[in-house]
Amino acid sequence: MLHPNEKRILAIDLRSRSFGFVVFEGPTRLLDWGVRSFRQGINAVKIPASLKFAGLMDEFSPSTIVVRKGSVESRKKAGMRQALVTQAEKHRIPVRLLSRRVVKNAFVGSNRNKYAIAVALAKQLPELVPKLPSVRKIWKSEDYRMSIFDAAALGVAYFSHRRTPRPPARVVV
Amino acid sequence: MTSHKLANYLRAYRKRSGLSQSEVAYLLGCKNPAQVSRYERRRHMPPLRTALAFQAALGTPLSELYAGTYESVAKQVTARAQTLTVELQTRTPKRGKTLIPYKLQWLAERCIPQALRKY
Repeated sequence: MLHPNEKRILAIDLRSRSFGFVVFEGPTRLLDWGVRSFRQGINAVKIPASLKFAGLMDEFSPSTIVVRKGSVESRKKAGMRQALVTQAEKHRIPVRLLSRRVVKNAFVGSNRNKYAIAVALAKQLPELVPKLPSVRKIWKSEDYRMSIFDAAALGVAYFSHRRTPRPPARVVV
Repeated sequence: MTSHKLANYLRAYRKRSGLSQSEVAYLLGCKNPAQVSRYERRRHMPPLRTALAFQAALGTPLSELYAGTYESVAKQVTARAQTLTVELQTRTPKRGKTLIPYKLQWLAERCIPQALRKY
């Protein structure tokens, strides 16, 4: 059996045409990471998102799936989220939603922007250094590899959120 | 919900090294890089020579590369060692009586974890 601190989790960053994932075993050990995309057009990816989610769940059998809590999202992204939840229910894996604030709180010193968080993550998890994209120019779209770092940030935030002791409950007299 | 170790950690260690599947296949001496994928996805079990080549290529002992498999095999060996210990303790051989305490000590020290030892 794994130690409770070595819990295996699957952190997923959903986008409308792709998703980034990182598999953690404990807060510092990465098992796998990558991006699965669903391109349209000539090089269209015909495999549906649900199958890709199921493949990851079968391969790593995580004890929790961590996803970012979304407030406003596109129809495609909502569909992907629904597919993920359906697959998680089939595999009997709980899905944990983390808000943007929780993720930012996990990176106290570097909560300026996504890139600063990605750099902090690359320092913390050196396996991710080759995937770190260059600084984004304002006229360029976001690098697809950024979703790996967003997923990794979710995973790190999940573990740090679990470690943080909860404030004592208020006693009402 | 599962929290056991994975059967193998080949992909994790390969990705940590930064090597691609075809590069690892070259190091292992496999002609087909898809074979490495099959080993990583637990579709196939590598033969002993390939497994040892994995250990040499990734610089990690086999018991860590195949942590889940090793754990289950070790558990079975421990159970058998306990049975054998009981059998040896009840055995009354005509020859080689001095060998039995030596065997018992070996089994206790090497095959049975501290927590499961009775003496």
